[in-house]
Amino acid sequence: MAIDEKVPARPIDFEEDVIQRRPITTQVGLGTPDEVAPTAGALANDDNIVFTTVSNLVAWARSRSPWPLGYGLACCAIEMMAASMSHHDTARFGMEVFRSSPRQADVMIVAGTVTHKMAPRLRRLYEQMPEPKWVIAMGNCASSGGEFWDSYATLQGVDTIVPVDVYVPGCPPRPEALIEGLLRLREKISRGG
Amino acid sequence: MLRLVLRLAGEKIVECTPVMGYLHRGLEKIFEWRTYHQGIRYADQADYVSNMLNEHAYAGAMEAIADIDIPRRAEFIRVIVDEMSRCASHLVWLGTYGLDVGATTPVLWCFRDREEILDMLEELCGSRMNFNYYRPGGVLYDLPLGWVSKLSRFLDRFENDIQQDYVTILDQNEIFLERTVGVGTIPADVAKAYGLTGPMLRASGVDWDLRRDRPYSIYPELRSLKPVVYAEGDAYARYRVRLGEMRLAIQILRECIGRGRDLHDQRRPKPQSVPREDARAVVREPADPPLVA
Repeated sequence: MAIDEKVPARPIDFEEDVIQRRPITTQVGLGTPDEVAPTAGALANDDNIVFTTVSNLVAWARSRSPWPLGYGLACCAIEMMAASMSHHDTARFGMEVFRSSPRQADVMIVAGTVTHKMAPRLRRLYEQMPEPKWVIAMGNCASSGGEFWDSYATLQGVDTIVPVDVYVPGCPPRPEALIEGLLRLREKISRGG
Repeated sequence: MLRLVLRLAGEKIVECTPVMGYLHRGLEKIFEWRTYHQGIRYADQADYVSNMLNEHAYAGAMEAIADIDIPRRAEFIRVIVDEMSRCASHLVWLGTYGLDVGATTPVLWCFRDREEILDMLEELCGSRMNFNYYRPGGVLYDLPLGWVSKLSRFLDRFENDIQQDYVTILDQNEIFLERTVGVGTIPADVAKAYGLTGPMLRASGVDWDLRRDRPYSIYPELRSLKPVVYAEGDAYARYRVRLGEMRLAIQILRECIGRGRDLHDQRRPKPQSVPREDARAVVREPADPPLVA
Protein backbone atom coordinates (compact mmCIF):
# COMPACT_ATOMS: atom_id res chain seq x y z
CA MET A 1 0.00 0.00 0.00
CA ALA A 2 1.30 3.44 -0.91
CA ILE A 3 1.89 6.06 1.68
CA ASP A 4 -0.43 8.58 0.18
CA GLU A 5 -3.44 6.28 0.37
CA LYS A 6 -3.65 6.65 4.11
CA VAL A 7 -3.97 10.15 5.44
CA PRO A 8 -4.69 11.25 8.97
CA ALA A 9 -8.37 11.68 9.66
CA ARG A 10 -7.60 14.94 11.42
CA PRO A 11 -4.55 17.09 12.13
CA ILE A 12 -2.74 15.97 15.23
CA ASP A 13 -3.44 18.14 18.21
CA PHE A 14 -0.35 18.39 20.32
CA GLU A 15 -2.03 19.11 23.58
CA GLU A 16 -4.28 16.08 23.39
CA ASP A 17 -2.41 13.59 21.26
CA VAL A 18 1.16 14.07 22.28
CA ILE A 19 0.96 15.25 25.83
CA GLN A 20 -2.15 13.31 26.85
CA ARG A 21 -1.20 10.41 24.53
CA ARG A 22 -4.73 9.87 23.34
CA PRO A 23 -4.87 6.88 20.97
CA ILE A 24 -5.48 7.84 17.38
CA THR A 25 -7.65 5.60 15.26
CA THR A 26 -6.17 6.28 11.85
CA GLN A 27 -2.98 4.40 11.15
CA VAL A 28 -0.37 6.76 9.79
CA GLY A 29 2.90 5.81 8.16
CA LEU A 30 4.48 3.17 6.05
CA GLY A 31 3.04 -0.25 5.45
CA THR A 32 -0.38 -1.72 5.87
CA PRO A 33 -2.37 -1.43 9.05
CA ASP A 34 -1.66 -5.11 9.71
CA GLU A 35 2.09 -4.71 9.44
CA VAL A 36 2.39 -1.69 11.73
CA ALA A 37 1.00 -2.27 15.18
CA PRO A 38 -1.13 0.57 16.52
CA THR A 39 0.75 2.60 19.09
CA ALA A 40 -0.67 4.04 22.26
CA GLY A 41 -0.43 7.55 20.91
CA ALA A 42 0.98 9.63 18.15
CA LEU A 43 4.30 9.53 19.93
CA ALA A 44 5.64 6.09 19.19
CA ASN A 45 7.35 4.67 22.22
CA ASP A 46 10.31 3.08 20.47
CA ASP A 47 11.47 5.43 17.78
CA ASN A 48 10.20 8.83 19.03
CA ILE A 49 8.62 9.83 15.75
CA VAL A 50 5.92 12.47 15.66
CA PHE A 51 3.60 13.03 12.71
CA THR A 52 2.04 16.40 12.27
CA THR A 53 1.71 19.24 9.84
CA VAL A 54 4.31 21.97 9.60
CA SER A 55 1.81 24.68 10.44
CA ASN A 56 0.76 22.86 13.60
CA LEU A 57 4.35 22.37 14.64
CA VAL A 58 5.17 26.03 14.04
CA ALA A 59 2.10 27.19 15.93
CA TRP A 60 2.96 24.90 18.82
CA ALA A 61 6.53 26.17 18.97
CA ARG A 62 5.44 29.78 18.80
CA SER A 63 2.86 29.35 21.50
CA ARG A 64 5.32 27.91 24.00
CA SER A 65 7.63 30.87 24.49
CA PRO A 66 6.33 34.23 23.34
CA TRP A 67 8.81 36.81 24.61
CA PRO A 68 7.19 39.99 25.85
CA LEU A 69 8.40 43.48 25.11
CA GLY A 70 9.26 45.22 28.38
CA TYR A 71 6.74 47.97 27.97
CA GLY A 72 5.56 49.04 31.40
CA LEU A 73 3.79 52.37 31.36
CA ALA A 74 2.20 52.84 34.76
CA CYS A 75 0.82 50.95 37.76
CA CYS A 76 0.28 47.75 35.77
CA ALA A 77 4.02 47.62 35.07
CA ILE A 78 4.68 46.90 38.73
CA GLU A 79 2.25 43.98 38.65
CA MET A 80 3.82 42.83 35.39
CA MET A 81 7.18 42.81 37.18
CA ALA A 82 5.62 40.95 40.09
CA ALA A 83 4.24 38.37 37.66
CA SER A 84 7.69 37.66 36.27
CA MET A 85 9.40 37.49 39.69
CA SER A 86 9.90 34.51 41.95
CA HIS A 87 6.48 34.37 43.56
CA HIS A 88 4.35 34.14 40.41
CA ASP A 89 7.10 33.22 38.01
CA THR A 90 5.96 33.38 34.40
CA ALA A 91 9.17 31.53 33.59
CA ARG A 92 7.09 28.42 34.23
CA PHE A 93 5.41 29.16 30.91
CA GLY A 94 8.50 30.32 29.04
CA MET A 95 7.27 33.90 28.98
CA GLU A 96 9.59 35.70 31.37
CA VAL A 97 12.22 36.94 28.93
CA PHE A 98 11.33 40.61 28.74
CA ARG A 99 13.14 42.13 25.79
CA SER A 100 14.21 45.74 25.72
CA SER A 101 14.18 45.86 21.95
CA PRO A 102 10.96 45.46 19.97
CA ARG A 103 12.90 43.59 17.31
CA GLN A 104 13.37 40.66 19.67
CA ALA A 105 9.86 40.61 21.09
CA ASP A 106 6.79 38.57 20.14
CA VAL A 107 4.11 39.98 22.36
CA MET A 108 3.61 43.53 23.51
CA ILE A 109 2.04 43.75 26.95
CA VAL A 110 0.67 47.27 27.11
CA ALA A 111 0.86 47.66 30.87
CA GLY A 112 -0.62 50.95 31.91
CA THR A 113 -2.22 54.17 30.82
CA VAL A 114 -1.37 55.24 27.28
CA THR A 115 -1.24 59.00 27.03
CA HIS A 116 -1.60 60.92 23.80
CA LYS A 117 2.10 61.71 24.04
CA MET A 118 2.99 58.02 24.30
CA ALA A 119 0.56 56.79 21.63
CA PRO A 120 2.74 57.51 18.54
CA ARG A 121 5.71 55.83 20.24
CA LEU A 122 3.59 52.81 21.06
CA ARG A 123 2.47 52.52 17.46
CA ARG A 124 6.07 52.85 16.28
CA LEU A 125 7.30 50.15 18.68
CA TYR A 126 4.50 47.88 17.50
CA GLU A 127 5.53 48.39 13.90
CA GLN A 128 9.15 47.64 14.78
CA MET A 129 8.22 44.24 16.16
CA PRO A 130 8.72 41.41 13.66
CA GLU A 131 5.79 39.28 12.49
CA PRO A 132 4.10 37.33 13.93
CA LYS A 133 3.26 39.62 16.84
CA TRP A 134 0.54 39.84 19.43
CA VAL A 135 -0.73 42.49 21.82
CA ILE A 136 -2.09 42.11 25.33
CA ALA A 137 -3.95 45.11 26.73
CA MET A 138 -3.24 44.86 30.44
CA GLY A 139 -5.55 46.73 32.78
CA ASN A 140 -8.57 48.93 32.37
CA CYS A 141 -6.65 51.94 31.06
CA ALA A 142 -5.12 50.04 28.13
CA SER A 143 -8.35 48.14 27.47
CA SER A 144 -10.84 50.96 27.42
CA GLY A 145 -9.52 54.09 29.09
CA GLY A 146 -10.58 52.82 32.50
CA GLU A 147 -10.89 55.36 35.26
CA PHE A 148 -9.30 58.00 33.05
CA TRP A 149 -12.32 57.86 30.79
CA ASP A 150 -12.79 61.63 30.91
CA SER A 151 -9.15 62.69 30.92
CA TYR A 152 -7.98 65.09 28.25
CA ALA A 153 -4.53 63.45 28.14
CA THR A 154 -5.11 59.70 27.74
CA LEU A 155 -5.98 57.32 24.96
CA GLN A 156 -9.33 55.61 25.38
CA GLY A 157 -8.19 52.06 24.82
CA VAL A 158 -5.05 50.92 23.05
CA ASP A 159 -7.15 49.06 20.46
CA THR A 160 -7.74 52.40 18.78
CA ILE A 161 -4.14 52.34 17.49
CA VAL A 162 -2.98 48.69 17.47
CA PRO A 163 -4.90 45.40 17.14
CA VAL A 164 -5.36 43.74 20.54
CA ASP A 165 -5.49 39.95 21.01
CA VAL A 166 -6.20 39.62 24.73
CA TYR A 167 -7.74 42.07 27.16
CA VAL A 168 -6.90 41.62 30.83
CA PRO A 169 -9.29 43.61 33.03
CA GLY A 170 -8.38 44.94 36.45
CA CYS A 171 -6.92 48.05 38.01
CA PRO A 172 -4.28 46.84 38.08
CA PRO A 173 -4.87 43.16 37.22
CA ARG A 174 -3.38 40.74 39.69
CA PRO A 175 -0.31 38.83 38.45
CA GLU A 176 -2.53 35.75 38.29
CA ALA A 177 -4.84 37.61 35.92
CA LEU A 178 -1.93 38.53 33.66
CA ILE A 179 -0.80 34.89 33.64
CA GLU A 180 -4.34 33.89 32.69
CA GLY A 181 -4.16 36.38 29.84
CA LEU A 182 -0.82 34.99 28.69
CA LEU A 183 -2.24 31.45 28.73
CA ARG A 184 -5.26 32.57 26.72
CA LEU A 185 -2.84 34.09 24.24
CA ARG A 186 -0.98 30.78 24.14
CA GLU A 187 -4.24 29.00 23.27
CA LYS A 188 -4.89 31.51 20.54
CA ILE A 189 -1.40 31.14 19.07
CA SER A 190 -1.52 27.33 19.13
CA ARG A 191 -4.76 27.50 17.16
CA GLY A 192 -2.77 29.35 14.51
CA GLY A 193 -3.84 32.86 15.49
CA MET B 1 7.84 57.14 32.84
CA LEU B 2 10.83 59.36 32.12
CA ARG B 3 12.72 59.65 28.86
CA LEU B 4 16.35 60.65 29.00
CA VAL B 5 18.10 61.90 25.91
CA LEU B 6 21.80 61.30 26.51
CA ARG B 7 24.95 62.54 24.89
CA LEU B 8 27.84 60.17 25.47
CA ALA B 9 31.61 60.39 25.31
CA GLY B 10 32.55 56.74 25.32
CA GLU B 11 30.73 55.41 28.35
CA LYS B 12 30.55 58.72 30.13
CA ILE B 13 27.36 60.73 30.01
CA VAL B 14 28.24 64.32 29.19
CA GLU B 15 24.76 65.67 28.61
CA CYS B 16 21.33 64.53 29.68
CA THR B 17 18.00 66.02 28.68
CA PRO B 18 14.98 64.63 30.52
CA VAL B 19 11.73 64.52 28.56
CA MET B 20 8.66 64.37 30.75
CA GLY B 21 4.95 64.02 30.24
CA TYR B 22 4.64 60.46 28.96
CA LEU B 23 2.50 59.63 31.95
CA HIS B 24 0.64 62.89 32.29
CA ARG B 25 -2.87 61.60 32.85
CA GLY B 26 -4.53 64.87 33.73
CA LEU B 27 -5.01 63.96 37.37
CA GLU B 28 -5.36 67.59 38.44
CA LYS B 29 -8.35 68.13 36.20
CA ILE B 30 -9.86 64.79 37.19
CA PHE B 31 -9.64 65.74 40.88
CA GLU B 32 -11.66 68.84 40.07
CA TRP B 33 -14.40 66.78 38.51
CA ARG B 34 -14.72 64.14 41.24
CA THR B 35 -16.26 64.20 44.68
CA TYR B 36 -13.90 64.12 47.64
CA HIS B 37 -14.44 60.42 48.21
CA GLN B 38 -13.91 59.51 44.58
CA GLY B 39 -10.61 61.37 44.65
CA ILE B 40 -9.00 58.93 47.07
CA ARG B 41 -8.84 56.32 44.35
CA TYR B 42 -7.05 58.72 42.01
CA ALA B 43 -4.59 59.80 44.71
CA ASP B 44 -3.44 56.18 44.69
CA GLN B 45 -2.16 56.55 41.18
CA ALA B 46 -0.04 59.67 41.64
CA ASP B 47 2.81 57.45 42.81
CA TYR B 48 1.64 53.91 42.25
CA VAL B 49 4.50 52.25 44.12
CA SER B 50 3.70 53.87 47.45
CA ASN B 51 -0.04 54.33 47.19
CA MET B 52 -0.85 54.62 50.88
CA LEU B 53 1.30 57.73 51.32
CA ASN B 54 -0.55 59.52 48.54
CA GLU B 55 -3.83 58.63 50.14
CA HIS B 56 -2.53 60.03 53.42
CA ALA B 57 -1.75 63.35 51.76
CA TYR B 58 -5.16 63.46 50.11
CA ALA B 59 -7.03 62.45 53.26
CA GLY B 60 -4.98 64.97 55.25
CA ALA B 61 -6.07 67.73 52.89
CA MET B 62 -9.71 66.66 53.14
CA GLU B 63 -9.52 66.65 56.92
CA ALA B 64 -7.86 70.05 56.95
CA ILE B 65 -10.73 71.50 54.89
CA ALA B 66 -13.51 69.90 56.87
CA ASP B 67 -11.78 70.13 60.24
CA ILE B 68 -12.29 66.45 60.98
CA ASP B 69 -10.87 64.72 64.03
CA ILE B 70 -9.27 61.33 63.56
CA PRO B 71 -9.49 58.56 66.16
CA ARG B 72 -6.06 57.71 67.56
CA ARG B 73 -6.40 54.08 66.55
CA ALA B 74 -6.96 55.18 62.97
CA GLU B 75 -3.84 57.33 63.19
CA PHE B 76 -1.82 54.33 64.28
CA ILE B 77 -3.30 52.20 61.50
CA ARG B 78 -2.42 54.94 59.03
CA VAL B 79 1.18 55.09 60.12
CA ILE B 80 1.39 51.29 60.00
CA VAL B 81 0.14 51.07 56.42
CA ASP B 82 2.25 54.08 55.45
CA GLU B 83 5.44 52.48 56.65
CA MET B 84 4.55 49.15 55.05
CA SER B 85 3.93 50.97 51.79
CA ARG B 86 7.27 52.72 52.16
CA CYS B 87 9.00 49.36 52.55
CA ALA B 88 7.21 48.01 49.48
CA SER B 89 8.30 51.08 47.53
CA HIS B 90 11.92 50.89 48.64
CA LEU B 91 11.96 47.19 47.77
CA VAL B 92 10.95 47.96 44.19
CA TRP B 93 13.67 50.58 44.10
CA LEU B 94 16.31 48.28 45.55
CA GLY B 95 15.42 45.41 43.22
CA THR B 96 15.37 47.44 40.03
CA TYR B 97 18.47 49.37 41.06
CA GLY B 98 20.28 46.07 41.53
CA LEU B 99 19.14 45.03 38.06
CA ASP B 100 20.36 48.30 36.60
CA VAL B 101 23.87 47.93 37.99
CA GLY B 102 24.02 44.28 36.98
CA ALA B 103 22.87 42.28 40.01
CA THR B 104 19.97 39.99 39.11
CA THR B 105 19.49 38.23 42.42
CA PRO B 106 18.33 41.08 44.71
CA VAL B 107 15.26 41.78 42.60
CA LEU B 108 13.97 38.25 43.15
CA TRP B 109 14.45 38.60 46.91
CA CYS B 110 12.93 42.08 46.98
CA PHE B 111 9.77 40.92 45.28
CA ARG B 112 9.60 37.94 47.63
CA ASP B 113 9.40 40.34 50.59
CA ARG B 114 7.20 42.78 48.74
CA GLU B 115 4.67 40.05 48.00
CA GLU B 116 4.31 39.42 51.72
CA ILE B 117 3.65 43.10 52.38
CA LEU B 118 1.12 43.23 49.57
CA ASP B 119 -0.59 40.11 50.87
CA MET B 120 -1.07 41.76 54.24
CA LEU B 121 -2.33 45.01 52.72
CA GLU B 122 -4.67 42.98 50.53
CA GLU B 123 -6.06 41.31 53.62
CA LEU B 124 -6.68 44.78 54.96
CA CYS B 125 -8.51 46.35 52.05
CA GLY B 126 -8.97 43.80 49.28
CA SER B 127 -6.46 45.14 46.78
CA ARG B 128 -2.79 44.54 46.12
CA MET B 129 -2.21 47.98 44.70
CA ASN B 130 -4.35 51.12 44.46
CA PHE B 131 -5.79 50.36 47.85
CA ASN B 132 -8.51 52.99 48.28
CA TYR B 133 -8.14 52.49 52.01
CA TYR B 134 -8.14 55.97 53.51
CA ARG B 135 -11.34 57.75 54.38
CA PRO B 136 -11.84 61.26 55.69
CA GLY B 137 -11.67 60.80 59.44
CA GLY B 138 -10.05 57.38 59.44
CA VAL B 139 -9.64 54.30 57.32
CA LEU B 140 -12.00 51.90 55.55
CA TYR B 141 -11.72 48.83 57.81
CA ASP B 142 -10.16 48.04 61.13
CA LEU B 143 -7.27 45.57 61.24
CA PRO B 144 -8.48 41.98 60.76
CA LEU B 145 -8.11 39.43 63.55
CA GLY B 146 -4.60 38.07 63.85
CA TRP B 147 -3.22 40.61 61.42
CA VAL B 148 -0.94 42.34 63.91
CA SER B 149 0.77 39.13 64.98
CA LYS B 150 1.24 38.23 61.33
CA LEU B 151 2.84 41.63 60.77
CA SER B 152 5.18 41.27 63.72
CA ARG B 153 6.25 37.83 62.51
CA PHE B 154 6.92 39.34 59.10
CA LEU B 155 8.96 42.16 60.63
CA ASP B 156 11.27 39.70 62.36
CA ARG B 157 11.77 37.81 59.13
CA PHE B 158 12.16 40.97 57.08
CA GLU B 159 14.77 42.41 59.43
CA ASN B 160 16.68 39.19 59.10
CA ASP B 161 16.29 39.25 55.31
CA ILE B 162 17.74 42.74 55.09
CA GLN B 163 20.78 41.72 57.07
CA GLN B 164 21.25 38.23 55.64
CA ASP B 165 20.39 38.89 52.01
CA TYR B 166 20.59 42.46 50.85
CA VAL B 167 23.48 43.59 53.00
CA THR B 168 25.42 40.41 52.34
CA ILE B 169 25.06 40.52 48.59
CA LEU B 170 25.37 44.27 48.01
CA ASP B 171 26.99 46.18 50.86
CA GLN B 172 30.57 45.03 50.32
CA ASN B 173 30.12 43.66 46.80
CA GLU B 174 33.11 44.83 44.82
CA ILE B 175 31.25 45.30 41.54
CA PHE B 176 28.40 47.10 43.27
CA LEU B 177 30.84 49.41 45.07
CA GLU B 178 32.69 50.04 41.83
CA ARG B 179 29.50 51.18 40.15
CA THR B 180 28.03 53.26 42.98
CA VAL B 181 30.72 54.77 45.22
CA GLY B 182 31.56 58.25 44.00
CA VAL B 183 29.10 57.98 41.09
CA GLY B 184 26.55 60.72 40.52
CA THR B 185 27.62 62.80 43.50
CA ILE B 186 25.20 65.59 44.40
CA PRO B 187 26.54 68.13 46.92
CA ALA B 188 24.13 69.44 49.51
CA ASP B 189 23.83 72.91 47.99
CA VAL B 190 23.08 71.51 44.54
CA ALA B 191 20.50 69.16 46.04
CA LYS B 192 18.75 72.07 47.72
CA ALA B 193 18.97 74.24 44.62
CA TYR B 194 17.33 71.55 42.49
CA GLY B 195 14.65 70.96 45.11
CA LEU B 196 15.48 67.33 45.75
CA THR B 197 13.42 65.62 48.42
CA GLY B 198 13.32 62.40 50.37
CA PRO B 199 16.18 59.88 50.30
CA MET B 200 17.95 61.83 47.54
CA LEU B 201 18.17 64.88 49.79
CA ARG B 202 19.18 62.97 52.91
CA ALA B 203 21.86 61.09 50.99
CA SER B 204 23.41 64.49 50.25
CA GLY B 205 23.79 65.22 53.94
CA VAL B 206 20.75 67.45 54.43
CA ASP B 207 18.97 66.41 57.60
CA TRP B 208 15.40 67.06 56.51
CA ASP B 209 12.55 64.65 57.08
CA LEU B 210 8.96 65.85 56.85
CA ARG B 211 7.87 63.26 59.38
CA ARG B 212 9.95 65.09 61.96
CA ASP B 213 10.25 68.61 60.58
CA ARG B 214 6.68 69.16 59.44
CA PRO B 215 5.01 66.63 61.69
CA TYR B 216 1.67 65.07 60.86
CA SER B 217 -0.38 62.19 62.20
CA ILE B 218 1.28 60.54 65.22
CA TYR B 219 4.85 60.78 63.92
CA PRO B 220 5.90 63.38 66.53
CA GLU B 221 5.04 60.92 69.29
CA LEU B 222 7.20 58.12 67.94
CA ARG B 223 10.47 57.73 69.76
CA SER B 224 11.99 55.47 67.10
CA LEU B 225 11.78 58.09 64.34
CA LYS B 226 15.39 58.99 63.64
CA PRO B 227 15.93 60.12 60.03
CA VAL B 228 18.67 58.31 58.12
CA VAL B 229 21.23 60.78 56.77
CA TYR B 230 24.45 60.16 54.87
CA ALA B 231 26.79 62.92 53.83
CA GLU B 232 28.54 61.45 50.78
CA GLY B 233 25.87 62.34 48.21
CA ASP B 234 26.77 59.55 45.79
CA ALA B 235 24.73 56.61 44.52
CA TYR B 236 26.03 54.39 47.30
CA ALA B 237 24.83 56.85 49.94
CA ARG B 238 21.38 56.85 48.36
CA TYR B 239 21.38 53.06 48.55
CA ARG B 240 22.42 53.22 52.22
CA VAL B 241 19.70 55.76 53.01
CA ARG B 242 16.97 53.60 51.51
CA LEU B 243 18.22 50.48 53.23
CA GLY B 244 18.38 52.42 56.49
CA GLU B 245 14.84 53.68 55.96
CA MET B 246 13.56 50.13 55.64
CA ARG B 247 15.23 49.31 58.95
CA LEU B 248 13.75 52.50 60.39
CA ALA B 249 10.31 51.52 59.10
CA ILE B 250 10.64 48.20 60.93
CA GLN B 251 11.38 50.05 64.18
CA ILE B 252 8.46 52.44 63.65
CA LEU B 253 6.11 49.56 62.86
CA ARG B 254 7.18 47.72 66.01
CA GLU B 255 6.56 50.79 68.11
CA CYS B 256 3.15 51.36 66.51
CA ILE B 257 2.15 47.75 67.08
CA GLY B 258 3.25 47.98 70.69
CA ARG B 259 1.43 51.23 71.38
CA GLY B 260 -1.56 50.95 69.07
CA ARG B 261 -2.68 47.52 70.13
CA ASP B 262 -4.52 48.72 73.21
CA LEU B 263 -6.02 51.79 71.62
CA HIS B 264 -9.64 50.95 71.00
CA ASP B 265 -10.90 54.42 70.39
CA GLN B 266 -13.82 53.79 68.06
CA ARG B 267 -15.49 57.19 68.12
CA ARG B 268 -16.47 58.43 64.73
CA PRO B 269 -16.43 62.00 63.52
CA LYS B 270 -19.85 63.53 63.08
CA PRO B 271 -21.02 63.78 59.49
CA GLN B 272 -20.76 67.31 58.23
CA SER B 273 -20.77 69.12 54.95
CA VAL B 274 -17.39 69.94 53.50
CA PRO B 275 -16.75 73.51 52.33
CA ARG B 276 -15.18 74.10 48.95
CA GLU B 277 -11.74 75.54 49.49
CA ASP B 278 -8.10 74.83 48.96
CA ALA B 279 -6.06 72.86 51.40
CA ARG B 280 -2.53 71.60 51.52
CA ALA B 281 -1.17 68.54 53.20
CA VAL B 282 2.38 67.43 52.78
CA VAL B 283 3.43 63.85 53.28
CA ARG B 284 6.98 62.58 53.15
CA GLU B 285 7.08 60.48 50.03
CA PRO B 286 9.65 57.72 49.64
CA ALA B 287 10.78 58.75 46.20
CA ASP B 288 8.95 61.68 44.72
CA PRO B 289 8.53 65.34 45.59
CA PRO B 290 5.84 65.94 48.20
CA LEU B 291 2.39 65.51 46.77
CA VAL B 292 0.44 68.66 47.32
CA ALA B 293 -3.25 67.89 47.19
